[in-house]
Amino acid sequence: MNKTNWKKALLAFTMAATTMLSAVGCGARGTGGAGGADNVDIDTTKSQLYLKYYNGGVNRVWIDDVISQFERDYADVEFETGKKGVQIIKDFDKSGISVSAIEKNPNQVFMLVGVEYYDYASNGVMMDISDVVQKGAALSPNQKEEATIETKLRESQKSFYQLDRGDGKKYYALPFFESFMNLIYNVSVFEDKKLYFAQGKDGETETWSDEDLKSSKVEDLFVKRATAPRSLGPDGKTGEIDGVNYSADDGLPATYKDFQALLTCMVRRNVIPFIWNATSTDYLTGLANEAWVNNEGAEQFMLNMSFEGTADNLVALDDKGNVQYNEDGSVKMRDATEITPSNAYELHAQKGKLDAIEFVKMMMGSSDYRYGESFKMDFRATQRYFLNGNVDGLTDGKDIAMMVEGTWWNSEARSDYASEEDRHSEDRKFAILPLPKSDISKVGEKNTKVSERQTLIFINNFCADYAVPIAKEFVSYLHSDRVMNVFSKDTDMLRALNYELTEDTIQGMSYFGRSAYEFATSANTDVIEWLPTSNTTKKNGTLLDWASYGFSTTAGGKNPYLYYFEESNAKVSPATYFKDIYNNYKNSWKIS
Amino acid sequence: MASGKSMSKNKRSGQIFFWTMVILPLVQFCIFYVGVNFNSIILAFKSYENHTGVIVQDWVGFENFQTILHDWNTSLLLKTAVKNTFKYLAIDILIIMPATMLFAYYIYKNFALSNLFKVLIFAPSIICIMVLVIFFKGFMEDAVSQVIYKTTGTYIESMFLKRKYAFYPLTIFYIMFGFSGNILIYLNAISNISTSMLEAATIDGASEFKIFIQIVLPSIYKTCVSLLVISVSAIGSNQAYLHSFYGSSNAPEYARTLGYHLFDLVATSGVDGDNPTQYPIASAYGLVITFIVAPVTLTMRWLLNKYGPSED
Amino acid sequence: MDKSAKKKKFFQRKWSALEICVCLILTVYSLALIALFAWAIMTSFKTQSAYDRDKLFFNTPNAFTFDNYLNVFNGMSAQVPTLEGGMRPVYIEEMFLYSFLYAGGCAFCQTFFTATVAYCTARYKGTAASVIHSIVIITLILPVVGSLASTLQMAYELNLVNNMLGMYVLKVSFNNMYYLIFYALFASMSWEYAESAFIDGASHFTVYFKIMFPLAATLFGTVFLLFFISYWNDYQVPLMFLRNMPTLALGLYGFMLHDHSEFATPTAKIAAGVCVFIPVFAVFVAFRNKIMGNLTEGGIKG
Repeated sequence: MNKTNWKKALLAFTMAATTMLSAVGCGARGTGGAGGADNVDIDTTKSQLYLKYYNGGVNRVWIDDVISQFERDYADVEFETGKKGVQIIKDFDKSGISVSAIEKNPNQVFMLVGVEYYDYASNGVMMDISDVVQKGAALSPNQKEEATIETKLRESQKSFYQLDRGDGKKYYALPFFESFMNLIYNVSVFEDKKLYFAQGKDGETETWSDEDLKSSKVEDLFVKRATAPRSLGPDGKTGEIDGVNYSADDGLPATYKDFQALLTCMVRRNVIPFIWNATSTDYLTGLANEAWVNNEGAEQFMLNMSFEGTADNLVALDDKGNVQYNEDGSVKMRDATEITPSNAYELHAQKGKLDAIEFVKMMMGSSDYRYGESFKMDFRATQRYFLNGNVDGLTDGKDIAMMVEGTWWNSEARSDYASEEDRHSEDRKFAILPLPKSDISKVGEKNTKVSERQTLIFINNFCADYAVPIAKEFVSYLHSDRVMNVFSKDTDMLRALNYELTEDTIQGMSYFGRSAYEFATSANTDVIEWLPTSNTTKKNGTLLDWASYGFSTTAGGKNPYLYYFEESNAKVSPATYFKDIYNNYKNSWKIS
Repeated sequence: MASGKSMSKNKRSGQIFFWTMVILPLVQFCIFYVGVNFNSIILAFKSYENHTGVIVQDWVGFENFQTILHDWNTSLLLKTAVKNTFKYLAIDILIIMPATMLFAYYIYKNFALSNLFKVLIFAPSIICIMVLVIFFKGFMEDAVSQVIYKTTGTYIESMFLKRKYAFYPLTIFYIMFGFSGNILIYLNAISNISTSMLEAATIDGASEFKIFIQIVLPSIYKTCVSLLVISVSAIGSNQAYLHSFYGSSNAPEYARTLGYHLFDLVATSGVDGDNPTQYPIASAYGLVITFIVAPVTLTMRWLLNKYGPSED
Repeated sequence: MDKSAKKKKFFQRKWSALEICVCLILTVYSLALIALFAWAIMTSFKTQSAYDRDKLFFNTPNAFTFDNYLNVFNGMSAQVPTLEGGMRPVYIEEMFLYSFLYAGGCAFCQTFFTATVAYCTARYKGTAASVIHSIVIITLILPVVGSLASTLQMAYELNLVNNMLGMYVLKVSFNNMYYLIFYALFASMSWEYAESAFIDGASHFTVYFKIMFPLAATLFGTVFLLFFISYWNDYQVPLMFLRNMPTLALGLYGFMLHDHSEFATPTAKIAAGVCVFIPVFAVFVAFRNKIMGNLTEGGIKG
């Protein structure tokens, strides 16, 4: 073929291929019914309910089961004249929807992630569901639970979700799932490598120097046998006391010094302490928030959500923002300070935040503490390496002990297990690590977790009249303890409400699910929401964005892990970083 | 007279043709250049707030400009962005421009492998920047890191998130794919130089370098000035491909440019028009930058044209 | 001259210092570029597990796969609203369609109106023509920064956003550097053809579309091609103005940075890049002389 013919052939092939692709594109692929719903035939003998569900890490297995059960339970109910039963049309994908698009959207019930409740409710796109919330959840057409759904909400949730748009306080949505960030630890690795602190070693590291904590001396702190008795852990207790089990955290690091000793020991025993991902660096910011909240305590931390109250845990700073110290070297604290919107920047002097920065610096203290490619990985790769990295020969024969991930991770990582049986097997033991306390004086204080992402269930205020009772019934049905158990059993996660798991559910969960449930519902754990609770903070939602509120500096950075990832910052003390954050807010404080 | 009438008829039909053909683009220009810039000025004195789910607009006078001044005084982010912007401008002027001129001369002279080089230099300008970024980022972050580790033992955790390393791949990318834009313009300008002048110089024993400096550069001076002026005037919009590498708001603060910062302000607003809260501050930034850059650009152009070398 | 004689001449001639230096630099540059594309194409055929083990070569058994391309076709998608108010996914083939419509339509509008206005101002002298010509020169020289917010707001108000026709309207413009190239071309064209045509009773429209425009067809084709390539590769304008009709470049941006599904593995992302790169590069290689050679008329003289 000569040169010209070759060119013509190449052009013809390319144009044909591209045109053919475009022509195929004209007949859009598998769009299903209206609203991008799963491909289904509409059953005209039944009433339809259109459901939009954020099909992300939580997965759809549980909701498919619930929908099937609902359709069976309501098969004989006439919501419309001449029609019996309900057919739920599913619009499941990993996308959200803007406020302006809801009115025309055919979906009637929404189960979404990352939705600003205040924005949506204020725009009138969410239906008033007070009548649903203030009654018992539906179990079947003729049966409801005795306790109302409202009783399952925490006080802070009642305060947040009840909105007065001029006609009294009403509920316009309900929370979907708990979404706190965690250090997930591999229990099997801890057991195999004997990484539990031995009984009697509580508080031993308090007098150790930094050099001691990074030396071979740490070996003496840990159990010599997997079954040896363990230390008390961050709760400072063991066994069952007043019906509360305090043994779950036995042997785990109670303080920051313990944690440093653990990291040293892990490296010595050829274990990689951490893995995380860089494509969602807000996961790391989320963990830093958890450390802040855990050290601050629920009550004091919630001042950040209201900008009102009395702060009694503020660090004393000079007029340049430098941290002040007592003669014994401890951080000097201020007297109780009255917080108002105009001076709420003072909350960036909370001691818990300084403690959080110290925790971050410790985690970032050596590149040996993290899997080397963490800052190049996405969260799915992180899960894969955490679960199977050693087995697949990806981590040079080393186990990875802990992973920074959200509560949804085990549901999201299903495809990394060999099977569902593998996911539920006793060989796959993972749990949430209770974060250590900054010093021994705080051991015994409650664990505090903060649920950051707004995840909501609501009804479209513009849905057709016939669908309103169905939508309300379905939303009510979703909030029965029975259905919430289905959710937890499949996803290993918790709905963001108070409910009990049945024994069947607990046994049906994976090891991680059971341990997460025990941890989150323990009397020793407070769970709070990162939700504005006052009118002022509701108006300044952008300022309170959890991914940037805690650690933004004058240089523009907002992620403390990336801050210490910079070699130039490696030697920056937590106090200096803390000062930068405080000054940033003090100098730019502007409240609407 | 008949011919006078037909000339006048021809002139009239010419006018009809003229206005018929230009009216649409002229109206578009009036709306989307004049109107847009006028609206941009007005926006800079407004604010949009969205506290209750409803957009409330208000006139705020010079408040947006005061915010910019306040940001400049209190935040390092803006100063870093300006510094980086000038850094990339320096790369444009001191590396990319001279190199592109040299490459154009090399290709014009048909030196060794010039046809291949011409294709390879120009090729990146026809390839989607996202393709180049995907390839380059993967190559540097994974492949090159692996090579560096195996040869030197140094493990690079992230080339693009660590300040120590980020400068290098970002700058290499900027330079590598910066030649392609203007190579043809320089080639065209060099093509217009009289070949007899170049031959005469060769015959007189001048080296290629001397010919380049003393004949080619003065001959294409006006082209260089035009492209230099374009580089300087693009100060406010040069993102240095950061948005392609990192997306919105995720570029490390030490790497940002003014162009990235401005684009990010708009890109992170609601593009459905339902959340224009950042538009006023973005417009104010634009005005400030225009007021600084415009006179500098025009003055620079005038000075370079007045005092630069001539073909003579 | 036969090949061996050429070869002999090549090695025997005297190389100047400039030639050697620039040749070395360009050789390094070319090798880097070729290595980059070769690595990308090779990686696009690697399994993710093989890539995890060795980022550079095919060092593991069973490393070769087409799965990445399957992932691209099955998984590279963008969610767009439907007319009924719901959402639906747009996959790669539909993105190709939108890219064609966006690039083709915008390139045609911009080229046509640039050429037309240049013709009108070059051949129909008068105050209006002078003003328009000055407008182009001034707007090319005068830097205006930060008008994106205002453009977006106005485009939204005029319902031009998320609307292919709206994109075409935004491109009905003439103030770009190719105006000067067309202007120079039309100014240098002989008017005799037009005068003969007028004598024969042709209208000005006929003269333009049937005589002058065809004479500029080559330049028109080249400028159109350059605009087409530019719009084909642009993702930022579709990101701001055309999210509901995602082009390939925008889809690629989303796939690379915001897609964390099981389809969006690192090797699949590179495969997606190869899918977008190959057609354009193939056309460029075949027609490089035309593309690069015809942009010689006019030029920027300051």
